[in-house]
Amino acid sequence: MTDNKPNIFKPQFGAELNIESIISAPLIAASKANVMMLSGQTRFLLDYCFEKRDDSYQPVMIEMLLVQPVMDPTKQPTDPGYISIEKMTFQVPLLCLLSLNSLAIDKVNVDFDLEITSVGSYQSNVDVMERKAVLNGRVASVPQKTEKGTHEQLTNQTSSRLKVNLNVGSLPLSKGVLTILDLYTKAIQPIAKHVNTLNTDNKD
Amino acid sequence: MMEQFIPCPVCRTQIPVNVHQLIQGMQFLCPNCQAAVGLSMQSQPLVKEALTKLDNLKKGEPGK
Repeated sequence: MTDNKPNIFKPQFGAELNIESIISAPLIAASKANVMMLSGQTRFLLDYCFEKRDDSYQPVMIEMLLVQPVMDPTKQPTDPGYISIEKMTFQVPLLCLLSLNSLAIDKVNVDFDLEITSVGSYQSNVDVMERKAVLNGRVASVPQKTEKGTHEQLTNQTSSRLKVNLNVGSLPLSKGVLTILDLYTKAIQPIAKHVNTLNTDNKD
Repeated sequence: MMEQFIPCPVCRTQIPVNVHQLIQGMQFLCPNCQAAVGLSMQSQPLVKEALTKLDNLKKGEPGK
C-alpha cells in the first residue's frame, strides 16, 4: 500500500531566540519587502516620469486631447454650424496617470505560536535595584495528535505558549510624493491650446 | 482596476480615467461639462511603455 500522506513542509523550530527578535522578524521582513518595492518605485519614477535636464529633474509631460461641443451664440439653433466640435490639446505629467501607491504592501497577517523556553533577567541601567526580565523562546510547532493524552499535553504546553497575531497595514504614499502630485494637479493646471475647429456639418 | 483622475481643463472637475483604456484610444467624459478627454496618438507609445514597466515592477520582474 502506498503512503497517501500529503507532503507537508516541517520547518525546524529548534533555535532559541529572544522573543522580541522572533516577534519582530516577520515585521522586519515585511518592512524590507516594502522598502525593496519602494526603491524600485522611486527608480521607476526617476527613470520614466522625470527626465534629467542639467541638474534638475523635469516631469515628463504627455499630450491629451480634449473634444468639446461648442455652441455659436451668434447663430440660431436651426442654423447649420450652430454646434461645432472643438478639439484642443493639453499636457499633464505622466506621473498623474500612473497608480504608484499600488506598489506598497497592503496588509500583512502573521499568526504563530511562541513557546517560552527559558527566562532570565538583567540589571536595569536606570535603576540599580531593578532587574528586567528576558524571555527566550522559539516558534512552536503544531502539536502532534496522539491517541492518548492529547488534551493533557496541550494543557501542559499552554502554560509556556504565547499566541502571536500580528496585523500590519500599509501607510499611504509618502508626504513628499503626495505634495508633488498635489502641486502638479494644482500648479501645472492643463491649459487648453486651440488646435482646430471642426464644423459638425462637415464631420464624416 | 484602479482609476486615476485628470482635472478637466474646461471646468476643473476630476475626470476618472482608466489608463489601460486610454492607451487603447478610449475617451472619457467629464461628468460636469461632458467634454471628452483622450490620449493623443503621439503620447500613446510613451504611456504604454511606462505602464508596461510599472506592471513588470508590480509583478517583481526586473526592468530592462
